[in-house]
Amino acid sequence: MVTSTVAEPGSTGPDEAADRGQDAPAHLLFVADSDRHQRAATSTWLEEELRRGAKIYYKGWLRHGHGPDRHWLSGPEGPRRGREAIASGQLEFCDFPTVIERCGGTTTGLHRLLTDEVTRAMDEGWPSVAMSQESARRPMGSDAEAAEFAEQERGYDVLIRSWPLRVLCQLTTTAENDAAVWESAAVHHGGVIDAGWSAEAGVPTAVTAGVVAGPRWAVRGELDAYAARRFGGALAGALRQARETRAGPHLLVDLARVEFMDVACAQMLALSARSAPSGQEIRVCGASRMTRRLLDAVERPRTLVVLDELPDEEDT
Amino acid sequence: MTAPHPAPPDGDGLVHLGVVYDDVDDLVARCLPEIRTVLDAGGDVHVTVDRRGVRRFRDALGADADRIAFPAPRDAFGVSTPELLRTIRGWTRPGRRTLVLGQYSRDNPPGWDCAFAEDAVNLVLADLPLTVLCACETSGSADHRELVSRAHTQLVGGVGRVPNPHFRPPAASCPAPLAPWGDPQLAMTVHGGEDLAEVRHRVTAVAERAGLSGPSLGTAVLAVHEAVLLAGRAGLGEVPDPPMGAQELRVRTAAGAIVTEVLAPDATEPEDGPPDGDLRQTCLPSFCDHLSVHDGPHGRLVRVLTSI
Repeated sequence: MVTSTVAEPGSTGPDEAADRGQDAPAHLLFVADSDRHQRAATSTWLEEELRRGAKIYYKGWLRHGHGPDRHWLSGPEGPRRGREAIASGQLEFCDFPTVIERCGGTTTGLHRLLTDEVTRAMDEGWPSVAMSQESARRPMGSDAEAAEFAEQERGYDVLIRSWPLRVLCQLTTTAENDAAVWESAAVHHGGVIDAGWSAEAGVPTAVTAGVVAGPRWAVRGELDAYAARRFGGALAGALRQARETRAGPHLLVDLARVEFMDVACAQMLALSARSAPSGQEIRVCGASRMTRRLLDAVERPRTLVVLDELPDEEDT
Repeated sequence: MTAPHPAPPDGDGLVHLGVVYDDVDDLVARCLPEIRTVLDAGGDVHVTVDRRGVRRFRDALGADADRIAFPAPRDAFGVSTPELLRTIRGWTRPGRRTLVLGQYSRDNPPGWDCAFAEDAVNLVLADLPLTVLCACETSGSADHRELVSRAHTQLVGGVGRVPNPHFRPPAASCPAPLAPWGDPQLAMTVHGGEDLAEVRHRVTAVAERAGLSGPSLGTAVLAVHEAVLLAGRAGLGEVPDPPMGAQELRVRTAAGAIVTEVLAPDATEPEDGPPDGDLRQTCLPSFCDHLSVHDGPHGRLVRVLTSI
């Protein structure tokens, strides 16, 4: 039964700018350290998307022999209106084996599947589309697999540029190996929400004293040893991205909203700067006095430059 | 037979010497070479003895007496071990050695515990460029004489320093007596990296109540945070690990300092740990006034002291 609290296709929602969530990247990685944490946060996200009236495509894991009606989405941990949304068609669930079967196990097939889902939702009159997928539990055993994963994630970005689409990728650290955690953070460096910290890619170019400082990557929150692995992965991804953009190869790391940093994360910055390819620098702005002391304490290399002032932004 | 120690290469840390003397002239004779060694090297000297001792030292030192401070014992050390530690720590200077001469007295104030103070000096001041001479008259109490024999790595005799075979270091599992610091303002079990944010939150509250704010507050919180990681032997490489195993955290504020102890009974060496662990241990002193790390059969205990 569909209740009045579940949005119908074509229902009037908030304006498009708000729908696109301009305060947050449209393609986000949410990091959880337990199933409980993952479910609570995802449920909140789903509630919000249901409220917005978005068509939601959810991809996840089912226990053997269970159907979507036995998934946590339909239970008390799921969104309050989850069961009704599934019944009404606003929320569609697909388990991973079925996804792989439908896309033929290829990246091209996955992109085609995602495109079909978005266009179908638009054709049905939904004001926007939201997609989320649970932690994929990939072995991420080789560079080739990591590259394939990155290419798959780029498919979402392509769709986001053309459609009112928001994507929440889930990463449950207890379900993934170190390589998968690192690569997930790297690929999603432009939008990461982790325990205590988050990061997002800012405007494409930052200029200080007339010199292009590099694409801006803004970090906020508390960076500590517990998060250092993901911070390092995201930083590696931001550096990789900076090398591929016109504003690169340097990366401007904006720490103005970092409230705490410890030795592990300072060391991560130093190590990343040391291992960056020749000609690439990490340029830090907005660092507190404490952070500067930390970076000096870990003997920051010359390729880790601390800027005194926040560069002006120039989105060219 | 033990050989005298004519020219001590004292390094950077504490040199804690016991002096048993017959009379004040004997005291001066035994201590003067140590004093002159430090003066000649450009160090500072603080002699805290009774009035008669001050007169004899001034006579013996001549013009060099003007280069020495003679604070009254009670003024210098107060009536508690924390005050003594704070005073001595305040006298130290980076890059040069400071010598402090103190004297056991039968007139110690109530509650003063010499044994406790000696253990605290050994542990809390271990890393400072200090030479501490503790002098006890042969006619003094048997307890004091026994303490001189137990708490000092070397004794100063008529021919200079000799190793002390009776020295017994304080237990590694309890590197500093806790009683003078009072009950902990914060006591919690840290189960892993996921608790670090809570640690910082609660330490911040304690430090704020103790009067810290701004950058000094941030420094104190960082020091405790890193102490937890150091106790847990958390890795610090390309792929750092969160701390392993449960740890007991105790934070005390007293006598102008925040004293933190973290005991990690189950801390084990991470596979990629030692070099990076060294880095954390190298960095941490930049953010506190004192750091000590004790590894023993009861686990690893890290102690951090930050002045308020």
